[in-house]
Amino acid sequence: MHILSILLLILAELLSYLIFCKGFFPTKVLLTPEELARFNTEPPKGFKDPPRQFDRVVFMLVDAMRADFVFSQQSHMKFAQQLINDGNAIGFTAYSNPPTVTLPRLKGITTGSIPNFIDAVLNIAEDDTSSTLGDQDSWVKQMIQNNWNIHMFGDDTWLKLFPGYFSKSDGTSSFYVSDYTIVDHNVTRHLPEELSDEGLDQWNCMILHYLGLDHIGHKGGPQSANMPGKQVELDSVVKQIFNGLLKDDPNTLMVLLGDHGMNDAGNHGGSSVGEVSSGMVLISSKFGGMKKALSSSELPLSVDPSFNYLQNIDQIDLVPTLAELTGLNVPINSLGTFIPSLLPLYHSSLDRCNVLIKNALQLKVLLDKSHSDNSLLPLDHYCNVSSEQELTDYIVSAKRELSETSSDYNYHDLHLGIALYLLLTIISIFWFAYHYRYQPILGVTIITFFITYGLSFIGSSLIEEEHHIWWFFTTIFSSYLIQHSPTFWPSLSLLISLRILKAWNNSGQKYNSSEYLKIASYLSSLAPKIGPNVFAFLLLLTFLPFFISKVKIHFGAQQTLVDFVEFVSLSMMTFILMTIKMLSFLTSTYNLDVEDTGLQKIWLDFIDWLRAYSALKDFNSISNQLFRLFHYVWFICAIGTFLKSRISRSLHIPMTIDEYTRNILVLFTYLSISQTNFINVPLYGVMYFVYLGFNSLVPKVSGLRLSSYLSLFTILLQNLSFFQFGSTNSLASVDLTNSFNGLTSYNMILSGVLTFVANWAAPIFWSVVYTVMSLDALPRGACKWNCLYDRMIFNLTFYSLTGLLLIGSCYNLRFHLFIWTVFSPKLLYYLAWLGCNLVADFAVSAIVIGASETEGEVSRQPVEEKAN
Amino acid sequence: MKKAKKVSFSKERKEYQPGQPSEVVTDIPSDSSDKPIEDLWESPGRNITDSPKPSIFTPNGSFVLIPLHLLVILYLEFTYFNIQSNVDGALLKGLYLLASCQFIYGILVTVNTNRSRKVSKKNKKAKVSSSFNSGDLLGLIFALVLSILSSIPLFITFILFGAPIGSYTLRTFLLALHTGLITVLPMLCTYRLSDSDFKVDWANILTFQVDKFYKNQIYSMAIGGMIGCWLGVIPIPLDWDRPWQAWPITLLGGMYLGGVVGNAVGWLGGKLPASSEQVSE
Ligand SMILES: [Zn+2]
Ligand SMILES: [Zn+2]
Repeated sequence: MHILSILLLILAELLSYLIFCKGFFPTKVLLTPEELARFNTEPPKGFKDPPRQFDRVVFMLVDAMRADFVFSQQSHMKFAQQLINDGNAIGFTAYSNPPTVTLPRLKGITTGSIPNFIDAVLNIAEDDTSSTLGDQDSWVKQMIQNNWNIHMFGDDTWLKLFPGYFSKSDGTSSFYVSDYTIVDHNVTRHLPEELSDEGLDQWNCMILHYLGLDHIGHKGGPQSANMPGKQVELDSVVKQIFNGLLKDDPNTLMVLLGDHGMNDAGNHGGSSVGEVSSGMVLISSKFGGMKKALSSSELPLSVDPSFNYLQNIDQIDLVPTLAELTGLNVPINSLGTFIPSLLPLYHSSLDRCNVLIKNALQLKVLLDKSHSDNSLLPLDHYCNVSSEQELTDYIVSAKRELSETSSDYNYHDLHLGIALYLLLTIISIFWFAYHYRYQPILGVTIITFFITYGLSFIGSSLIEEEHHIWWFFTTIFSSYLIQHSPTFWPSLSLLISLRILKAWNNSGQKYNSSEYLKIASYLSSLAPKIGPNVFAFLLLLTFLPFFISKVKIHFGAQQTLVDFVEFVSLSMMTFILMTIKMLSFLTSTYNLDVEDTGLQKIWLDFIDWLRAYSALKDFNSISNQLFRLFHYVWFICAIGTFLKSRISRSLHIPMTIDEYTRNILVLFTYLSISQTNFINVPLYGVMYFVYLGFNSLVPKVSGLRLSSYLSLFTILLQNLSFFQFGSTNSLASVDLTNSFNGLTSYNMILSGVLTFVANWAAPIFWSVVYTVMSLDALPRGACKWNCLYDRMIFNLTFYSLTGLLLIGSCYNLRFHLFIWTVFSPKLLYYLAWLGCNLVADFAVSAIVIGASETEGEVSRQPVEEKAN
Repeated sequence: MKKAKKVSFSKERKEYQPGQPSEVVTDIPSDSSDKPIEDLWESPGRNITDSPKPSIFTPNGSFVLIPLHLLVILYLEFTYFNIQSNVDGALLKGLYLLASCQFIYGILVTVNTNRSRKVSKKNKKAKVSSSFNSGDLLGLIFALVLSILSSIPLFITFILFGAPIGSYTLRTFLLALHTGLITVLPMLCTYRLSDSDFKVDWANILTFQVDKFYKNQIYSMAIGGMIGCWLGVIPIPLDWDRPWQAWPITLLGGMYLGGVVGNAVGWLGGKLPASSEQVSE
């Protein structure tokens, strides 16, 4: 059967795509202690650990402190600049490896490794316990092993990364992004005590993580009116610590640094120059005795759009530098190199060489491991260990080689994946050409559309703004439809509902600003007096058409017991869903814990009633219980729907295909709605009108031509609504709010399924709409499998052509600057689309079509004959 | 919702024979009245299919009618009016200039239309002059007013097709005014309100039922302007960060260029053989 061979092709396509991804995202293998022992080589003769320079460290991390916030003329950190000018501090522009997000950056700053893309992905999926660095070597771990006492104040990410490491800590949640005063005050208030004489006995290392500057950036960008004041505040903290501690204690080192920068909009996560250029200042009164090596220019420096302030280093270089200066072992997975401008701290040439040798030995272990080199030649085989220059060259080249291999591709898998995918693409194009052999113009038009879309994968901005492409194609397609049968009301309904769909959330990663109208954010910013009423009204409007479309068949007809049961279960599902969505609207939009919520009495009664009815206090558990109830009712309805057509046939009760498709549409729409973010629920009403408008505009044709129109419409609307539900091709927009609906305990598979349905709810809806439309249009006696067959050939060609262009583009641009920030997320999103094609477009449609009872059952033969 | 879809999946695909016209949807509306399922065609503009042939008058092409002044105005928008730094101001100033130029252009179109009507063999109207009289002037002023009013439906169309709502409203409206002057005004000078077949002509135009549109210089100018405007959205999302990527500069440029290109295509199309015989058929 040809449906089966299509299934095989889809699976093969998925498999070759996975092979490509396996080569594209190699998992990083960290060095284990056993390997450390195996690849260790003897240090050169005369090597001994260089003397430690500092026995106390103040590590002051200012989130999102871009280099120019310290060094440029626009900076207000005058004291820090003065320290650098006086020679008590050295400033750097430190390169933060993308992804420039706090958690991966903290890993980089403490372990010295370069996070790869998969790390960033896993950070989304990980629950808190698995993102710790407990088993990885870092300078924090080294300090603990050497009995240092560490105090930590600030962002609680540190507590997640290093649970139980700190002898004293006060974590601040970074969740309240809108606050930028209290988060920092919570850190600074500890300083007087910590810097007092008794306080100083308690710790050897103090970590301060200030979040306020980052929050100001997110809110108002780097030019925000709050920025100068915040910089002055931070500068005064530096002054307080310097005057209170460092001035009289040359053995204390202070590190002032940003974990990443920010772009001109104040956000971070990508790899633009502003985001990767963070500032770093090393402060100690010991530096005063050091010859000012590179003091070429006096601070402040003029504003430099390419962020080349002072010396450029890698942020991970801090790791070996800090470890060596404090006499610790260099963390084993660190790729950093000792910062050369600190070498003059060591007065004898022998010490300086030993510092470099220590760094070189640590890197050599990683290098030997990556070469799988078993000969293990000693270090003096590679360079002259008494020459500072040769040692420096060695560690720099080792770092370069290691950072390249750490993002290395598995070319065997890449090539195999591409070759297999190419083969499948050729097969599917031939099949497509054969299928469309009597409709050549239509076929060529469709292929042109596929290729045009696929070519958009070449440009990073086209991937970031992909929703524009789908809007563009959708408007072209609707104009085509309207031009061919210009009926007024359906056209208007189609155009207006599409426009509302577009205006609901603005998608895209760059121009997603509030200056464009976003109905969703407008709704959630309504005053508590009217907001809930408006939302409830929209909810009613959304459910009404689905409710009516299912119930109206029974109007006037003789009611049976089955009909009654159906009606009750439908009403129940509607009611539960509306309650859930209303509850999550209320809880997420308004603060219900305060005394005066400003809500109208009816909504307060609603909440009280829910609490009384469920005997639960917590809103999360209330909605979880409601979800469980919904899932039970939904499963019963689903089984009932699929069995009903069988039963009614065996009882010889006539059941029209129309009734069946209505049931299916309502069933799957309700499932999609249950997994949709509350603010997007009214879009289902809008999409229903898109469907109605299209249904009356679609040209009055039959056969392959009709199914091509339907498939084209489905794929356009699947993608358009996916983006207009607020998704983008960035991992940041994955919606996790509905991932645990109705689950009693954490279950990775189930919550994975729920996450998928939550993010692909709209495509699933449209896929079901296709099946419904094509079953409705099925003439008496025609083979029902044609509906699926036509669509799958269409989809197979779409996914193989565009997928080939995508993996080709990713392969071609694998050294591109944006490969990890733009292309790789798209690669993962595309994988999910392939999954959607297999699960929603193929499997669900096959089940729905298979369970339908049409008179066409007898005519199965023609398909097979035809396709031969 | 009407559930009157009589469309069907074929029982077996074998019935598609090469050369057999299985479906009737073609790219250019066919001139025969074999549209299926007549009862679904219920809009006001639908009665045009009652007449056996949607045919509208095609004016003669002329090199003089190629709107080269649009290129000059577009150039001035970028240089003299400095649209990149002051979008609203430049759109407004350009609008005044465009209105005056289009007024003169309207005279040219009127004269040309008069001449082609006189030449055309099957001319029903007796009252035709090849020159420009006071009645024409009145018609032209009226056309100007109408095309300015047409910016309202054009504005709504822009919004429906994705122009931003809630911001840049003034710019979008100015763009609609420009569009009205470029596309609607010459059409109103060709298919005049005073013509007896005005209704049928415009019903055909608005539903894109124009025979041999590529020979109709004025009509293809309007279509070209619309298509150019539409294609003008493409550069906006690209990350070049240029000032001219601001809304709606690329749409404006696309429309001006599209208008000129469309017009030139219509002029060239009109020069194709067999065109002179069938002008008004
Ligand atoms: Zn951060
Ligand atoms: Zn941030």
